[in-house]
Amino acid sequence: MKKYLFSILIGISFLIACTPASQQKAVLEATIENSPTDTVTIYYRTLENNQWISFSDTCRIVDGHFSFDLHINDLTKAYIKFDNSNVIEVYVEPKQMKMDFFGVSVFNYNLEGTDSEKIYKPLRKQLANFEDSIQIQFTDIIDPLMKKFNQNQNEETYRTLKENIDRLRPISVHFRNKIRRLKIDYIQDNPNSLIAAGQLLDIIRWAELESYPLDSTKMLYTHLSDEVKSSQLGLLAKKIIQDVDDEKALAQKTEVGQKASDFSTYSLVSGDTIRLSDYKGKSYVLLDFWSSTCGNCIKGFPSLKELYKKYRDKGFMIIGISSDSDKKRYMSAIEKYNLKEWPQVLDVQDLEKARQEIANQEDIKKKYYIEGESKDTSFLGGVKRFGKNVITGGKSSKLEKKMDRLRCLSASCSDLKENLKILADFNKRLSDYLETARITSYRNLFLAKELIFIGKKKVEGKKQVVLVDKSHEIAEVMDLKVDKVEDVNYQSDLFFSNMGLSLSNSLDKLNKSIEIKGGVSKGDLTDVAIDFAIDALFHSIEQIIDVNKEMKEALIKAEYGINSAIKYIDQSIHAILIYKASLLRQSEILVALVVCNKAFIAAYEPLREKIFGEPSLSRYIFKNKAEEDFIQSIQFKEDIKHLMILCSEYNKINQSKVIE
Amino acid sequence: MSDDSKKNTLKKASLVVATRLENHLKDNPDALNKIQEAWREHNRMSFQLKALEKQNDKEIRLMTMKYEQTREILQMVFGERQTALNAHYAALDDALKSDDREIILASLRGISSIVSQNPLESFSEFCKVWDNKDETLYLDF
Repeated sequence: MKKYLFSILIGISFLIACTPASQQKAVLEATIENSPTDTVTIYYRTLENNQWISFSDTCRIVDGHFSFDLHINDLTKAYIKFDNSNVIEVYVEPKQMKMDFFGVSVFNYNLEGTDSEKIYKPLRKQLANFEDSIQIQFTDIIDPLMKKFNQNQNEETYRTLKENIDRLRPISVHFRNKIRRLKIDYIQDNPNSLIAAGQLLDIIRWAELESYPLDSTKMLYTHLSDEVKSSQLGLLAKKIIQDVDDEKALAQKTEVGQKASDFSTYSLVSGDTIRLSDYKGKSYVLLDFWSSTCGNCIKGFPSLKELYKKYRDKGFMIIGISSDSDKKRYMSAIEKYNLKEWPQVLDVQDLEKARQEIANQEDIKKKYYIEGESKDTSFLGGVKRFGKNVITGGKSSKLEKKMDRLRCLSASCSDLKENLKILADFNKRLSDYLETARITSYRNLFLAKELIFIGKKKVEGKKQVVLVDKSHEIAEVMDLKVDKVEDVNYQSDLFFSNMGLSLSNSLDKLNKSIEIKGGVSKGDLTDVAIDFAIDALFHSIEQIIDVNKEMKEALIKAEYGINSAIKYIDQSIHAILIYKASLLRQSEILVALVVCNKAFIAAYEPLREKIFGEPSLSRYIFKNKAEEDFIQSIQFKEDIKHLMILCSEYNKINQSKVIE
Repeated sequence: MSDDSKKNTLKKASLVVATRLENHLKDNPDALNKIQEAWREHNRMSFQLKALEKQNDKEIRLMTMKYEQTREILQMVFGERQTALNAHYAALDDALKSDDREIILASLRGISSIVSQNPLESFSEFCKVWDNKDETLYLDF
């Protein structure tokens, strides 16, 4: 037995040992002495399903200890920040890691549990020397001055602080450049190291922030080995370079003198789509970038209105573009400052989010998620609903939801019905266009035949007819008929009238007792009270049964209503898809015919000119000879052959049916 | 009042209530039947409601799946054809500019071969098969 147990234990240990690293939990446990704050934050980005996800996690420091569970699957560069401190760079792996901080220093810490730390440590030590040099300047000189300034804010303390900062800035820049140089050297010397890709992230960030040349940064990236490039850090570096490039390209596009890029965006105010190109004919279009929290923007509105009033007849137009993220504040600012004179849109970046928000909140609530018109929304109504809900064991609330759902579905059905009408109209119009194009093509082919007949007297061919497409047969959509469901009302009047009857019976009993005994004993009162209570109990049960039954019936009716709405939507969707297919097919043939017609004209027109050109005296005199010569020429035969083949293809397209 | 006397009073009251309740049921024999009938009706309706809810959920799921699939098929079929046609259109445009007859005819042949093949033929066939649960869907791959 012991032998078996031992084997099992060995097996389990083996399995644990074989578990891949990616499945291991990444935990970073850390200690810090004399932490300046109670909380610490970690930031990092990881690639999951080809999507870059940014993580930020904050935790409390308890007795100098803190711990983070990290969502990483590969070597990742993370940044740790204690409040008001510089960010601390650390390479983390999907393993159990232990970290010790010696004060808040960017590069001065001890990390155990990762393989990358062994490679990074020598570089980190060198970087720490320079970083400490910068830090000393600040802790020794700037921090006391800052403290002094905070205690006594006057011109003198400010001037002293500023002078010292200005004096120390070149030293700080010098050491920063040293750090940058060290990192660049490391990348160049270690193209096969993943740490190099991590260092490149900082170089790109600085290139963006401090306007270092990006081209040299790109060179550094190309210098990395393919293996490093395909790692998560390498891919992140590539993505950031691309982002910086895109931003620069965007900045160049919007430089003075450049043609404004067109944009198309949905206006929350008017509900229309606003395109810059729609205002192409206007003399001047002013893009007014504003926000409801920007005081200067708000101050400028009266002048803008005056300007607009004065010049709008001369082709002056304004489009307001707001960077507001709070939709409510944005809409109320438009109302408050009366900004509906010219189109108003939200910044395109936030638009989709805002549009979805609006769709989720307003459209659904106002348009679809409609509450019954007769719903009593007062406090008393709420109490009644609560009572009804208790009596029916939650069925009342369920019925209300079902009724809302039914209303929502009915509204959707009505919309679908409207959409079907619009689609049918589009389909009809496109069919008409196609028919015109087919007639034109038929006539062109007939003309070509006439021309070909001149060269060859005996020609036989299949008789063509103009193809008239049958209109698409749409599966008949049933009439829109979704029954309304009424809410069930609790018949309190009936209950109280029954209870009134019971009460009068009880009183009669008491009267009788008075008549017989000459008074009412305690026992009589108890008897009457018990009878009354039993009566009340039975009446209540009856009422509850009735209400529950009605409620169930209403729920079943609502469910039937929902079912017929679903069936209607199903048929409508089917019809819409067939319309869509028909529209796509018709437009496909139409475009092909238009393109083919262009090729036909290019082949037919020169021949027609030569054979049926303008009549003239010389043509009249020498006609037969010249024509005959031309008709006998090889060139004419070549041209006719080309036209014939072209017409054959043209005809094939013209005979293509929309539906078989 | 001692605990025993409290218990006795409660016993007496319960007995009185039970007797009264018994009398009430004797006087109104329909009351119990009505409650029993209501309970049976409640169970029947609950069963019907659940079945309806399940059926509706199933129909919504089926409808959504069918719509998404047919929409995707349409997009894929016409998308592919459009890409091929656009390439032919571009080639034809260039050929017309340079009067290259061979390319003109080749691109026209390409256009006609695509356009003359009706994609809706197979699409409507697919829709028919998809809508009819008893129809066999033949897969030629």
